[in-house]
Amino acid sequence: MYKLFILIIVLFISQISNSQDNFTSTYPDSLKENAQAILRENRIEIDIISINKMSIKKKRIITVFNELGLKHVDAFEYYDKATSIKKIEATIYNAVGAELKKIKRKDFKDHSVTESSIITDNRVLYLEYTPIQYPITIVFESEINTSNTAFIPSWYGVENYNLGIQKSSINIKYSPEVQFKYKEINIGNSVEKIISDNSIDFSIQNVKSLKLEDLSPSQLSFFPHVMFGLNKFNLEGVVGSAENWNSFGSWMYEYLLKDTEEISAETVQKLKTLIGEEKDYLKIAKTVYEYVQNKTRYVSVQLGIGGWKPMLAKDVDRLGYGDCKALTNYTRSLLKAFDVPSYYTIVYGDKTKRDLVEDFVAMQGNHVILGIPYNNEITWLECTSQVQPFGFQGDFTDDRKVLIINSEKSEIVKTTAYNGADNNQKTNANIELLNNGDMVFDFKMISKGIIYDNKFHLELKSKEELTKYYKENINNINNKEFTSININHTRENLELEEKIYFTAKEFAKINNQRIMMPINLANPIVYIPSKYKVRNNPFQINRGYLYEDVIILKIPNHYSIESIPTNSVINSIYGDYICTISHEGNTITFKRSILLKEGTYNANQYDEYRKFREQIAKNENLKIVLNTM
Amino acid sequence: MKKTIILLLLISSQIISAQKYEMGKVTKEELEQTTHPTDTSAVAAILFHKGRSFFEYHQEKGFILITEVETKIKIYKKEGLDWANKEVAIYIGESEKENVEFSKAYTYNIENSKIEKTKLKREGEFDEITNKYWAKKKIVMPNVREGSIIEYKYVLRSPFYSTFPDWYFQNSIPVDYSEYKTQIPEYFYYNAHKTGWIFPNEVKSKQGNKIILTSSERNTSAYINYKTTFNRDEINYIENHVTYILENIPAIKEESYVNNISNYAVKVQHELSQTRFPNSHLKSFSTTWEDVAKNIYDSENFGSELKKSGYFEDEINKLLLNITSKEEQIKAIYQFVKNKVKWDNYNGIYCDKGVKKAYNDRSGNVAEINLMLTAMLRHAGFEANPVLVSTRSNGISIFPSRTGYNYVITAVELDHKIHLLDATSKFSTQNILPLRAINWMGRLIKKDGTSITIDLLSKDMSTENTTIMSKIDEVGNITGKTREQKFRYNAYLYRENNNDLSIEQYQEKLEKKRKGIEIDELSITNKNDIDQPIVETYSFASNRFVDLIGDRMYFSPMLFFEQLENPFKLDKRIYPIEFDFPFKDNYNITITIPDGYIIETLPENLNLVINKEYGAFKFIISNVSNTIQLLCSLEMKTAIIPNQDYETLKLFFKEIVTKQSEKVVLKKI
Repeated sequence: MYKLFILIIVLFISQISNSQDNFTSTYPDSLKENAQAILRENRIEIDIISINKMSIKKKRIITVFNELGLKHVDAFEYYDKATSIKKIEATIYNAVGAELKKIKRKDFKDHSVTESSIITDNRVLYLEYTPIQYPITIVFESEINTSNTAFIPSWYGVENYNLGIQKSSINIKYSPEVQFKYKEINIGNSVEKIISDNSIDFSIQNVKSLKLEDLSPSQLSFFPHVMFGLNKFNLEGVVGSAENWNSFGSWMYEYLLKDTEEISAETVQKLKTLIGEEKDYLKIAKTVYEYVQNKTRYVSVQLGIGGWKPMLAKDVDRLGYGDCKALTNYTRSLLKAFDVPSYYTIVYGDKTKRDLVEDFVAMQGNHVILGIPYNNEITWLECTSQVQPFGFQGDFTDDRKVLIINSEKSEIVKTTAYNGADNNQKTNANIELLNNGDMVFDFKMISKGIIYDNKFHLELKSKEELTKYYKENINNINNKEFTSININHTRENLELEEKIYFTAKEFAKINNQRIMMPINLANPIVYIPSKYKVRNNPFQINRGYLYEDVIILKIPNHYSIESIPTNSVINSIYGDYICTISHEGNTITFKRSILLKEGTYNANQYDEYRKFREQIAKNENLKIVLNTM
Repeated sequence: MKKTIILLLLISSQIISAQKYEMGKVTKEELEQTTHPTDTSAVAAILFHKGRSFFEYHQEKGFILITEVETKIKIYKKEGLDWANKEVAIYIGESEKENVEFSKAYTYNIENSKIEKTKLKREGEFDEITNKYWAKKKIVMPNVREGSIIEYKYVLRSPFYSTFPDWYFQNSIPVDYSEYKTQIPEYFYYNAHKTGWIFPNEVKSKQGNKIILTSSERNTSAYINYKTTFNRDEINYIENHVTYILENIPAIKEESYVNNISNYAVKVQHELSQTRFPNSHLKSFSTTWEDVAKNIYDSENFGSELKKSGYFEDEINKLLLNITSKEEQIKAIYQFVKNKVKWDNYNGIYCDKGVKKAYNDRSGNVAEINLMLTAMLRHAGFEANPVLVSTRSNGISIFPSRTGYNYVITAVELDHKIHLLDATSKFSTQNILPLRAINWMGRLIKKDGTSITIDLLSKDMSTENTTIMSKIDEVGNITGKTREQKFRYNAYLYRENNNDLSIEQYQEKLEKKRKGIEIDELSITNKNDIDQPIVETYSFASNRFVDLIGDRMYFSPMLFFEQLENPFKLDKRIYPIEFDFPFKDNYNITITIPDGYIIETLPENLNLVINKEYGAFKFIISNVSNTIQLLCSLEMKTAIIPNQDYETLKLFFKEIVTKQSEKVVLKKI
């Protein structure tokens, strides 16, 4: 639903050195463990000559062990109006160091950077090579010149999982007049740093390959890397300021936003009739947001100032489309016409939460949303969505540090968090086992928070699509026939109600003396994370939740309960599980709640958490046994 | 009198319908419509889609193929807004290029109960040079929202008249009216082929047309200065017109167990079969499958490449020096090509850089690799021939066409049997082709250029044997050993998907797949010995398969191989069900029960055969004292099952799921 705007940031830039190629020499065996490839040497040399002249040289030697390892090769360079590729070439060697092939610039493939409907001027030169055998070693060298200094590539001491690193280093030389700065993240003892006059080096050696494990946090949150930037930089001919967030925001407002706000009198008039006498900022914002949602659509057009300047508000108004910047800025401009303040806000949009790095002022982020200040809080609006309810942020931009751009004061703030019980689903189920063995289900579920986020789209589905959806999603019950499905979306309360009524044919063999069935027929939560002999990575519960279910189960008269599970409570730092079971005559009542708390934990707590989930799963799987006796 | 009325009615209704399908005639009623009348799920619908392909003669360029398309789309829902963006790809790789121009592009909305019209301007048109060969023209329609109607026209001009555009009557949204007209000069013969489960109405006619050729001469004699005379030639010719019309075409929707849904889309495709220009010989391109094959065979980039052998002779002679068995010779050559030349992931029936260069570069496209393989087998004295194939993504070539094929494999005869080989995958073996290449029928071309069809679908059963020896303890924990033997496609797919994983990575993957067990002592044999089955053994432990309730234990004897869900959930099926290959899964599960327990109930045995011999399911359970043995097998004998038998198939799997869910009950003594 949401679409990022693509920033052409060259992540792993590279360079030449005139030292002898030494890739045929050996590497420690330990690097090969779990590795699809080994980065034998990665050398990046960046020369910042002035705020509008930078060259980046890269030399990257990588030994690839199998097809899966090809994704680490990264033999490509982007280019655009401001960036030219001076040199790009590669040589391929076999296991014993004999040259297999030389790939010259003209043999690199030239392609536009387009995925789906994206419209941009950016292009890429990339290496296309079919390995004949493994292992192979690829020596890739490139050199680019750019007038953009807004994006100085970061250095990643550890780039990815399943990649061993023999040596990786970066050197940055800068002219004394540029105000150079850097920010180290997760840098431990393994990284060596050398500071000299107008130059800085980082390097790392012999890093074993890491493995992606279940529930690992984002790579950036624990992989070592260094960010670089300038206090004054150039972005497509515009000089930017990054001394502090306030000056950065003022610059951005001044150069990228200020002259885009004009709105036609006709549109203002149209909105006036919709707003009427309303004075409340939030209510006006809601009217305007819904107006924008009904009028526009998301189209990724990334053309102005390296993709950073939004389309003019009046063009969005006229054309009815734009990217996240354009649609957000359009909404902001409309609100401004009614004196409602709002903030153009830069964020990393991703289901995995990612903060803007607060103490490093630079171009960051990949997405833009709108913030409406109201009663000392900020209401966040996703302007690229035509269906998102007003004021609901969802899991694409929630709970993270973002930059609000304000002509008066720009600053880093945190977006709405959906914690634990905020994400909840209440289920009321009436289930009856009929005399013919069919089971009749009557479910009512109300969901909120992130659970609601994953479900509110159901409102838009046709009856046919809903039937298909529930047939595939209620997967603990077979042979379902749906009688009715009703979806009620209460946008004001940000909640969705699902009412489903269905029959599971031949659920039980009614002639049997004994019938066994799960006690939780509505929503069993049985996920258990994978087991690891040795858990290496920290782990993260990205978002918590609360599921509360009440199930009333009726059984046929000629059966009695032979066995029924007992109540249980499981408490832990990760959450709480409570279930109570009672019965009276032929009616069984099952109540249970699962609360999971979000958080990041150490690798050594993983087994404990796994045990917690295992206990829950075991409880959720408990059975009742009915008997004709 | 009556007749006249009927006639009048006919005429008037024609006028009405004609108007309905003209651009610029958007009605309020259409704009106010909120859902599609027959498909309430539709996010948008194509109200009409009209195309006309015709030829224009240019004195310098010759005939140009022009295709005009007019489209009117209604947007019903916000998810349908993307239909307001359109892109057309054009070929720019040669000196003669394609070209496309959009025009008459408007968005219609209701504004204050009046129809408002917004024109697409230049700012909404974008050109993209995708790469050396292809470019795109993109349009982004202005002012589009829920309820809008958009219209646009584009004209595609192409010098490549041998590649006629395909016309899809069916789309992923409903199409209310689709019309396609071809106007083809008598000099060209195209085969028109229709696919799909409904056919368009077709009207044919002929019409005269003419080409005017002008030339000029300048006279520079001493008497008459600089006078130019013009000559004018007129050539009259006949055009064959065909109009295809289809109305109310439902949306085509993805379903599981379909290799390529577009195989089933309703469409018409044109294939150039002959050209016969005045004062020139008849030139045949393709009319029958035999002709298609012959044409491909006669091409420089196919037949001539196949005939080359000098580049490999020495090495092949050396390779075969000590191999006497015919079967071993085939294997050796097959393996030699796989090691020598790697596939560069490009499909094609023609060589690109040529077999010799591919051999020396050690990489090539599929034609280079498999023509080389064919040539080597021939050199070694085998009856070997290339087989033209259409990959799954290319769809099924049901009519004679060169573009219907995009892949080449090799057929070799041994003991009067034909074996299929494809050296692009290092794990493929005789008759185990990569899945991309198994797509119904291929065409085998013999040395003399004649050809025959050949079934690509594997007829041999791909078996998987799973043996479990296990034991339940007194608290319901289960431990045991599993041995899985994977044959043919099961082995091939295992190798394609897992061979690059380390044993540890594979173990994690396997634990995710076999939910609920912890795996230890995992070992895999024959990973690289592709003629042998994959054998996977491991020990396991689990506390999740046995319910200990009161003094009884309950468990499904299938343990972690229980099929929990029916793969067929939907009520109706329009398309055939396509399995990749015939398969048979055998399970032999032995479970020793804990001391102090006796068997109270065992599920009943079941022997289930699906009609028409499609498949069978067996479930035989027995016990000897405290050991339970289950023999269970599921067999699908054919890879493709017609949709008419969907109900039966669904029921068949329902019975399987039910049977496998039945519990063994143990009772404490």
